Amino acid sequence: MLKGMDFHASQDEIVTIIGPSGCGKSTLLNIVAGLHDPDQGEVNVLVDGVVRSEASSRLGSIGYMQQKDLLLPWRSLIDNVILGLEIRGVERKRARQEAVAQMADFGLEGFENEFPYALSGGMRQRAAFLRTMLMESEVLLLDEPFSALDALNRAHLQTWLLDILEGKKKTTVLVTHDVDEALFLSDRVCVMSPRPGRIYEEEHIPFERPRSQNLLTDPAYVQTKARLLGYLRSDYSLMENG
Amino acid sequence: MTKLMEWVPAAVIVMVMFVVWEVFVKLWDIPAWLLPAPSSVAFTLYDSAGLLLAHSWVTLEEILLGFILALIAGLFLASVISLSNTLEKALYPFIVASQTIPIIVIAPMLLVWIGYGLAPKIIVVALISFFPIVVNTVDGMKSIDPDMERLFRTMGATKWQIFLKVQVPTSMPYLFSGLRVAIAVSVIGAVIGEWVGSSEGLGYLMIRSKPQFQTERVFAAIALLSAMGVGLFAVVNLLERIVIPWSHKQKENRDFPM
Repeated sequence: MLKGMDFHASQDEIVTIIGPSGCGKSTLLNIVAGLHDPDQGEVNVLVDGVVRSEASSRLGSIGYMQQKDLLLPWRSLIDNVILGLEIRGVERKRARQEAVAQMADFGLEGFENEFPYALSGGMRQRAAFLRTMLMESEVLLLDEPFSALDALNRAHLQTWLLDILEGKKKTTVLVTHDVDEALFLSDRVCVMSPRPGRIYEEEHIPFERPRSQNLLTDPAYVQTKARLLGYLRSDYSLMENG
Repeated sequence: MTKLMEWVPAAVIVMVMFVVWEVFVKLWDIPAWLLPAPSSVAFTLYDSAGLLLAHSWVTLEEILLGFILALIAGLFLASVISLSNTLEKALYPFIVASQTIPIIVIAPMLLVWIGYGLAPKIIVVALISFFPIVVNTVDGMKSIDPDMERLFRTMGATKWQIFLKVQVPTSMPYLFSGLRVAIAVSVIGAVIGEWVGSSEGLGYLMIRSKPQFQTERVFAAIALLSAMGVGLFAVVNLLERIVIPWSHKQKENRDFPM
C-alpha cells in the first residue's frame, strides 16, 4: 500500500495529504493513529512528552476524525461528544460539564439533548469534531472530514475549523482530495503518488492566518493551486507509465 | 384515525372469511363435529368462557416463562459467540443442530426425564424460541460499522467497552426482530408441550375435546391461541418502541436533509 513513505508534521502545523483515491492516505492515518503497525519502517509520534513508536501505545492519545460523523443514534448529542472521555474513565457528570462549556464554540448550544437523527449534517460533523477535541489530544488526524457535506456547508466549516484550531498548538494532519480545501486549511501540502503511495511533492502554503474564503480568488493562491493541480496531473501520467 | 384505518383491510378479510364459512356450513348442513360454524364457535367462547380462560392462563404462563428463559439463554449465547471466535466455532454448530431435532421427538423425552408439570413445557417453548433470538442477535452484534470500531479503538476502548457501548445497542433492533419470530413460535411450542402429556392448558383441552367430538371447543381454543399470538406480538412491538425509540425515529428521518 505505502512504500518509501517519509512524512513528518510539527506542533501548531496543519499538514494536508492529497492524492488520488486508493493511494493509501487513509492507511497512513490508520498507522499514525496506532490501529496497526507498518510492515516495515518506523513511526514516532510525540504525545504528552513521550515518543510513542509502538502502535498500541498511541491508541487513546491521538484524535482521529473520519469522513462519517459516526454518532451513536441511541445517544443524545451531549452523550455522544463525551464518548472519548467516558472511555477514558472520566465520570459522566464531569465529562458533560466539560462538553457543555464548549457547546457554544461548536455552534451546538441548545441542542445538547437532541438525538443525531434530528440534527443537520453540518451539526453532526461539528459534534464529531467536538467529540475529537474533548479528548484534548495534541495530535489530530482528520480523514476527509467535510467530504460528506455540500459545498456551502463545507466552506463554512473550513473557516470555522481554522478558528477553532487557532492558538490550540495542535499537530494536525488532514487528508483530502479537494485541492481548495488543502490550500485553504494548511501550512503545508504533501502530494501522494498512486499505489504504492509515497509523498513526491511538498508545497508550503505561506498565506497569513486567519484566512477567509476571499483567499480563494487571490492571484498567489490561484498560482499555487495551478502548481498543485499540475503535480496531481503528473501523478496520473506516472500511473499510466506504470 | 389513520392508525385505525390500517386495520380495515385485515378486518374486512376476516369478516368475509367468516361469512363465507358460515354460509358454507349452513347451506351444506355440515355437522358441527366435522366443521363448526363461526357462530357456534363464538357461542362456545362465550358459553365455556370460564373453562377456556382457566386453560388459557396455563398456556400463557408456559409461553411467557419459556420465552423469558429463551431470551436469557439467547442473549447469553449471542454475547459469548460475538465476543469469542473460538466459542463461536464451538457453539454455533450445536445451536443449529439443536433445531434439526424435531421438537415432537424431544417433548416426550422431556416428559420421561422431568415428568409432567410446567417445567417440560417451558423447556419446549424455550428450545424452539431461543434460536431466532440467538441468530438475529449475533447478526446484529456483528453488523457494527468497521469505521465505528476504528473510532472506538483510536479512543482507546477495550474490546469489552466496544461490546457494551456499540455492539449491544446495535444489536437491539435485530434482537427485536428475533423476538417477534420467537413469540410466534413459542405459542406452537407450548401447545406441543401440552400435547405430549399434560393435564391443563389449551393444548390439553384440544386433545381432550377432539375425541369427544367437541369440535367447537377445539376451534375456540385455536381462536384463543391465535389471539394470544397476535396480542403477544403486539406487546413485543410496543416494548421495542419503549426500549429503543431511536431505532424507530431514525428510520423515519432517514432522508433528513444536510
